[in-house]
Parts: sequence; C-alpha cells; structure tokens
Amino acid sequence: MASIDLDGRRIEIREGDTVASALFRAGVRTFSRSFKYHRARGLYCLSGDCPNCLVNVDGVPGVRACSTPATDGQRVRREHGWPSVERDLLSVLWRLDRLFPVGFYYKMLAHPRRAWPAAEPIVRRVAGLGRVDRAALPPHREARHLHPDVLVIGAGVAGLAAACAAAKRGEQVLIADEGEPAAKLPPGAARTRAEALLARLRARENAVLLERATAVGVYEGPLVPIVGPDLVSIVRPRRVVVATGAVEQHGVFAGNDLPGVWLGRGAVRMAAVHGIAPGRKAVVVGGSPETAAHAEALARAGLEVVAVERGHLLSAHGRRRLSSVRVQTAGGSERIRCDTLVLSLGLVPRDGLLRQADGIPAVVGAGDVVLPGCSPDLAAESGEKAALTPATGERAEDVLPEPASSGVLCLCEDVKVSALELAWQEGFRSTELLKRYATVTMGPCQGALCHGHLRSFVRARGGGTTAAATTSRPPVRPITLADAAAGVHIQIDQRTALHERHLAIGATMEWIGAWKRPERYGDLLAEYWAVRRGVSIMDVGTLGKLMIGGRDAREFLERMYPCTVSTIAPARVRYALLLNESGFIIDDGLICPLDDGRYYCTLSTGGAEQGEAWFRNWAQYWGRRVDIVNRTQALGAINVAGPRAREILAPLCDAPLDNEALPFMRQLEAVVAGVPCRIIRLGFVGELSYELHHPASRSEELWDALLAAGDVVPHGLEVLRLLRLEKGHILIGQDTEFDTTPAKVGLQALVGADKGDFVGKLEHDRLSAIPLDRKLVGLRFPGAAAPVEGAPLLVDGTIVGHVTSSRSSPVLEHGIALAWLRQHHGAFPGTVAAGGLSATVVNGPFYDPEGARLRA
Amino acid sequence: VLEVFRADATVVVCHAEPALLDAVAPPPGAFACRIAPDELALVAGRGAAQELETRVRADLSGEEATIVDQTDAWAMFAVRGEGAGDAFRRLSAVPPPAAEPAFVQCTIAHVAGKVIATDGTLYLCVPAPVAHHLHSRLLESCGDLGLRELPRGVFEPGEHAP
Repeated sequence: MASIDLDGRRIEIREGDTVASALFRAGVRTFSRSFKYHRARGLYCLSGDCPNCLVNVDGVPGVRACSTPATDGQRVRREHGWPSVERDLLSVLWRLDRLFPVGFYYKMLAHPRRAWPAAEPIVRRVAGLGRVDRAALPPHREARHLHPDVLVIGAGVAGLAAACAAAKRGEQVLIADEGEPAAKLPPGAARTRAEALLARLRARENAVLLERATAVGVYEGPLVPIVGPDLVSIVRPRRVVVATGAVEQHGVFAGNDLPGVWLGRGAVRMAAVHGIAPGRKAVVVGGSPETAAHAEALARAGLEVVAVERGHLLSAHGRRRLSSVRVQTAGGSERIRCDTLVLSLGLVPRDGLLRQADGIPAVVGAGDVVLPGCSPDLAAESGEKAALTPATGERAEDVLPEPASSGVLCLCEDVKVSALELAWQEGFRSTELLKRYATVTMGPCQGALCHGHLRSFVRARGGGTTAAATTSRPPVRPITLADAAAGVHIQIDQRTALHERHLAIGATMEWIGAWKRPERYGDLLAEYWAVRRGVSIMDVGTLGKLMIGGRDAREFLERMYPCTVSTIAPARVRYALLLNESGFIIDDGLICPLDDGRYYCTLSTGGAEQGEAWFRNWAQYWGRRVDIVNRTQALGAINVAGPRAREILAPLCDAPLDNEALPFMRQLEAVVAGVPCRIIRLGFVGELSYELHHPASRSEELWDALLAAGDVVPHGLEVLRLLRLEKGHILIGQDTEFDTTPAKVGLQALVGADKGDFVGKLEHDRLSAIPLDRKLVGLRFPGAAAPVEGAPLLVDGTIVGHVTSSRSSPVLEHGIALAWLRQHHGAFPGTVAAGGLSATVVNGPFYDPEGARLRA
Repeated sequence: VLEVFRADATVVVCHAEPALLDAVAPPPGAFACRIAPDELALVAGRGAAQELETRVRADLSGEEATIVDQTDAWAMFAVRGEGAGDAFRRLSAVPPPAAEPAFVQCTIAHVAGKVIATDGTLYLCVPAPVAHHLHSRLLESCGDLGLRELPRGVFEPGEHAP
C-alpha cells in the first residue's frame, strides 16, 4: 500500500488523495500553527486559498496540502510548533496578546539600542509559517516562453467553455489550472458540464491544457507567468480570459479559526470528492444559494446537520478544536455541541489576477470571478462570450460582508479584528495603510479571504473612498525563489579561443568584466622573470577591436579621438585616449591605419562594448558614412614579450622583425607559424613586445607554436598588473576616476595641441586652463613592502590622496605605487606616508624610464 | 528525434548604403541576413568566405562598402527534429519562426543572437566567446525534450534560402 510519512508516522494514501485528505483520513486535525499566536489550525477552504494546511513536503516549506497530490514516499512535516504542532507551548502567546499589539516591533524594544537586535532573531524564530533549508541550494528551474492566441486561466466550467469557444474558432489556446480540471468539483451539474467540456477540449489539437500550473500574475503585454510542476511558463498571449472562480466568504467571529470550522465547499469536497466525513455533527451556517446543497451533501456523508441562519452565529468554542457553537435564539442564545461548523456564506470573486489587469484591455473575466455563484449554464455562456469578445470589461458586483466585531480577520498573518481597531485608533485609516501596518492581506492568501472584510471594516467606520480595494500585485499564489528565478542565468562568462589551453596548463581563472581570463599559471615569479629576462606570451584576445571603414572614416576618427589621426602613416600605430563630452578619459587603445583607408582601432577589455556603442552613437549623430565592424570576437590576440621575443618569433614569421623592418609603435601583416597575423610592436609591459592579432579560430594553433618555440612561459593578469605598474602605465578604471583629464595622468601630450574639434574638446580646453589641484603620481617606497591599494596618503596627518595600484617590484627591489595626490598648502608634496610607510613622489616610469628596452 | 550539433559556417558581413545592399543577391548555398539597413551578413557553409566576398563585390559593382569575414565571431548550433520549436521556447522570449526561410535577431539564452530557420532546422548563432554557454543551455534546458547531440556538422541553408 502506498504511503506517506508524517512526522515519522506512516500514513496510507488512496487514489485521488491529496496530502490533506490522506492526513485527515488518518485522523490529523491540526495541520499547522498560526503565524503569530501559534493557534491550532485545521482544514478550512480546501481550495488552496487559506494558509491553514501549509506543510513541509520533501523539504519544501509552505506547500498547500489540500491541493498537492499525495504520492508514495512523500515526507510531510508540520512546521512552526514547539515542541510539536499537536502540542505547541508557544500557543500561550494567544493569552499574552496584550504584550504584542499590532505593530509592536515598531514601538517596543527601541531602547536600549541593543534590545531589538537581540530580540529580532527570537521574534523571527517564533513567528512565521515554515522554515527554508538555507544550506540547501534550490534546484534550478527552467522556463519556457509561450505565445498562444488566447490564454485561459482556470479550467472550471467558464474557463473550459472559453477555451473550447476560442479553439473552435481556430485560435491557439492555452488553458492553465492550478489543479486537475473538474477533479475538485463534487458530483453534480457543474462537474458533469466541466467533464463534457474537458473532453471536447482534449479533442482539439490547437488547445493545450496545463494541469497543476498556477498563473501568479498578469503584467502589461499581457504577460502571464505560470508556475507548473516542471517548468515555469512565461506566456505572452494576445488575449487572456481570467476564469479563476470564486472563494467562499470567510467567516469572522470569535473562535472562527478553530480546527473543525470549514468553508462550505471545502467540507463538501472532503465528503463528496474524497469520501471522508468532516465530522459527526455539523452546524451549517448560511443563507446562500449553495447552503442547502452543502447541508444535503454533508447529511449524505452521514453527518448530523443543524442549520443556522446567517447572522445568528455568535461564536465558536473549543480548546484545541471545535466542540460547540453559540447561536442566537429568540430568547437569547443557545450552545450547540458539534465537531464541525460549516460556513456557507456565499461567494466572493477570486479576482486578484483580474485586478492586476486593470487597464489592460486584452484581459477579461469569465464565470464566478465576475458572476459569483452563477449557474453552470451561465458560467459557460460567460466563458464563451469572454473568449469571443475580448474587452467586455465585466467586473463582479462590489458586495462586502457584514463588518465583524471579533475573531481572526486575516488567517495568514494572524490579524484579529481587535488589532485593526487598535491600528485604526492609531491613525491608520484606510485599507492601504492598514494593509501595510497590520500586514492584513499580505500573507499567502494575498487577501483572497480577508480583503472584503478589511474593506468592510474601513467602510463601517466611515472610510468612504479609503475603503477602496487594495492594489493586487504578483504573485497571487506563493512561489519559491527558484520559481522567480526560473530560466535566469546571470553569470555568463565570455571565453577567449584559448580558454581550454589555459585550463590545460593549470591556469587560475578570474573574472575581468564579462570575461574569464588567466590570473596566473602557477609560479608568479617565474612568469614575471620570463617577461623581464626571457620571453613570455599572454592571451590578450579580450581587447576591444573595431574595424572602421567607409567614406568618412578618417574624418570620423579625427572627431572621435583627441589626437591627430590624419598624420598617422600606414604601418604606424598610435596610442590614443578617448574622451567623453566632459573632457574626461573613458578609454584608451591604439589607432592602426590600414593600407586600404580603413582603420583598425583597439579598446580596453572592459571598454570594448561601451566603446562600440560610443562609436556608433556618434557616427549616427553626425550622419557620417562610417562602417563600424566589431572584430573583438572574430580576432584573437597574443602578446609576445621579453628581451628574447624577437629571437623566438623571427623563425616563425615570414617577415623580418628587426628594428628597421618593424620599429617600436609600428605594425605589419605577416604569417606566424602558418597563421596570418597583424603584428603590432608595443610595450605595455615595458619590454620588447609584439602583439599578434589573428583569426580567433587559429588561436590555439598559434599559441601551441609559440609555446613550442622554446622556453616560453605564459603569464597571467597578476604579473601583467605588476609589469605595467613598473612601467607606469595606467589602467583605465583602476587608476582613473570619472573626472580624470589627460593632464591629471600626465598624458596631455596625447591631445593634439592645435587640433580642430573632437569629442570633449570644449571642456578639455576649459579644464586645461585651470591649474591642477590633483594628479596621478608615482610613489617609491624604501623597502620591498607596498601599501594596499586604496590606502590613504597622509602628510602631517592630513589625507592628501590615495593609492590606486601598488606592488612590490622584484626588479627594482622596492615597493612602488600609483596614487592620486592633491596639493597641500599650495604645492604637491614630495614625500607622503601610505599604509604606515613613507614614500617619495616620483614622476615618469619606475622601470626603464628612457624606454630603451621597448626599442631594443 | 530532437537533435543538436555545432554547425560550421562562414559569415561575411557587408556594410554599405542600404540601397546598395538591397541589390545584393546571395549566391546559391548562402543565406542572406539583413542585420541592419546598412549591414548585410551572408552565411554559407564552411570555407566560403572568399567566394562570398567576391560575389558581394560583384553585386556592388565597385560601390563603396566594407566587407569583412566575421566567421570567427560567431558560433552556430543547429537544432532540428520534432520539438525544435519547444527547445527554442526554452531559450528565447520570441516565438520560433512560424515559416521558413526566416531570419530573426533576438536574445538566445540571455545572449544577443541570431536565428536562421531553413530547411527544417533552426540555426542559433551567438558570439563565439559564449558558445560554451549556449551549448550547456541547450543540453540542460532541453534535456527533458529528448535532445540528442550529434557530431559537429555544417550549415546548410537549403534550396529556398533568401
């Protein structure tokens, strides 16, 4: 026999059982403990609306037992009771209610200051509806995107009729129901009608039925997320029919939350669908069209039924569950012993989704949600009409319940009528304010049960317009964070064509912007000395690379860069800055004119995407005939650096690489190890260097050939940071700030002195006339130590700047840094302290200041 | 059977005045993708860059244009068979192309990509640096659809390519 495990107890299950029905059959009456007061809670609505049956199923808290099918082997845990849900000592809080009035956490424990931090963990532990296993990673959920013509939410009679009508017309129809269609309905006219419509719908190829799939919101578009058992569907239909039905009127009176108090349809569902009598003797309270049917169904299930008119019920009583009710009689009041109280008070629309869709013309309601309590015929008619006439704008009549004077108004958040009274006295005098202050309607039911009572409460106190419906927001049903993140993959790393090669030789990878790049391969010093004394290679394929062509290419670049472009002869390259309109540096890179009149421009790794957009925007703004081709992904780049770089490279290259053929800051096209390359002679690391730009698909071939050339050690980013710091080269973003001008970083020479207009010229010229109050300088420390990056610079105890880059230099044998330094008493200091170390301010590169090694 | 494979393709892009690009006719075996009014991409099987470039230059009759082989910039995955549309729905917010041949630009697995629908196959193109991402998304997101991975293949635009 199939079974589930409840708190270590084996419970048999039968076909068609939900977790709730299986537990109820086994005698379980207390399913949960309430949010604040730890009141015992039993089955109530059986429609997935109330919070009473929330249990932990297989480690997932907050699962609605009444709408979750029981399956063999499930582990069910009732939560939130101490020491157990059956006997919860914390239920004493109900009697200590005066100590915890509404909003107590705003008013109490404010003094002393440590009181609330100390109390908060206890409050959080005592309150709530269940616990998430924070150590367990949530499973990743997938999402899919669907685009039907018509989405029908709810597969009752109205929803099925709407789906059939739209499908018959040839439209693509998607219909979603949070349970199994028709399965919740007791035998009768509605179920017969629903089953017939369901059979018709299943015969349609253009209709898809999603079972156990809950629509949790309606957004503009319309866009409707539907949380299913396996997938989250993001649905963008042309039209939406909301046929979410109605929920029975919640009863609010003293003792209304005792186990044994049921809503009418819930009690009948337990009796007629699951075949389990809800009790032995039931008092049925009502006056709605369904009341008689409810009483009859319960009587057929073997219950002794006592009917009581609406308004005559005074209170319910019992210690851990219902034992009696007090009703009004002609002569006063009478106590009736019973174990079941059935509230058949009429229906209120389950209109959370429909209210979210206010103002979205493609969303329309059908059935009980706009005609609460309508007959199956009327529901079907309403559904067909909604499917065919997209914008009826029909809404249910705004009928509110009688204002309650006592009892629990909000079952989810444990808000009593008396709590609302107190909040009202404190000045929270509208539905929206009461909602925020008392958290009424903010629990798992999202106001399905209590919203009308809240409005009625406000209206009874002369609330007028402040008794308006509160704003409905997604999700209307509880969802997990995994549901909310379904289909989302935030960390998408970009990899160069050499990624696998790096991993194969043990590289530690690090994030640089969107890229994953080698931080090191192992021995940092070995990498470092390979560059300074031998030869090393580095994957620099992440550099931004743009091809600029078109009739106006030269004029365009002349206006984009602050340096003069027209004087760069083919075969030469120029290091250039990019400025924004404010004259501040936003990126740097190379300008390489090509033989055919086009230009090959590089950008920094981090600036590639923004740089491309920057170029395109200006090209469009100026209306220039410029072709901008992003070559970043298409081309790989490997830097070969070190005193032996030429020695290694020359035998592999079909062109001479000596100083005459390819001097510093020149370029040529050649074939290296069989791979066509643009070779650019540079010196970012301060040594003889050749950047080989080549088709990315040939990167591995080139890399392997270089490594095989003998004694070549690759180096990663960590060594690069040190090498360029020794050379005094800046990193945009690390050594620059948002308002860095060329003059502030000593690169004024990169701005054409007598150049015409360029982006940022106006502000650049204005700023150039203002004396510098701060600038980027070099710091030399007497010992090998260097302060941490970010360390403040001090002069006589006054902060005069901060360190942007710092390292201990192996070749110089002392610590070095770049730092922002501002004037102190009218002059730039010559010595400063940083991180407890004294430093001398120096200008120019620390290493090879004459640049002889670059030009070797 | 739902199948996926990495497809080798040649991509040649041509930037020119829109009116000039209107006159470019893709050669047999190539698929024309209008990326923007002033940008056209011709996609063909492996090793066709030279042929495509020559053809485009001929169609442009010497008019000014920037023609670049961007083959290495893109990674292409072919998805075909029953459920190809369902697989696409797991990856993109736009509906799969309703008819063939078709070219769509959209995000695929959160990455800016391009889709070519031709000959019963959806060719999904993303920037080469995120090829591994689309590959893993295809296998993980569509695993329950019975997706089967095949050895590397070639882009085949079919007879009705535009």
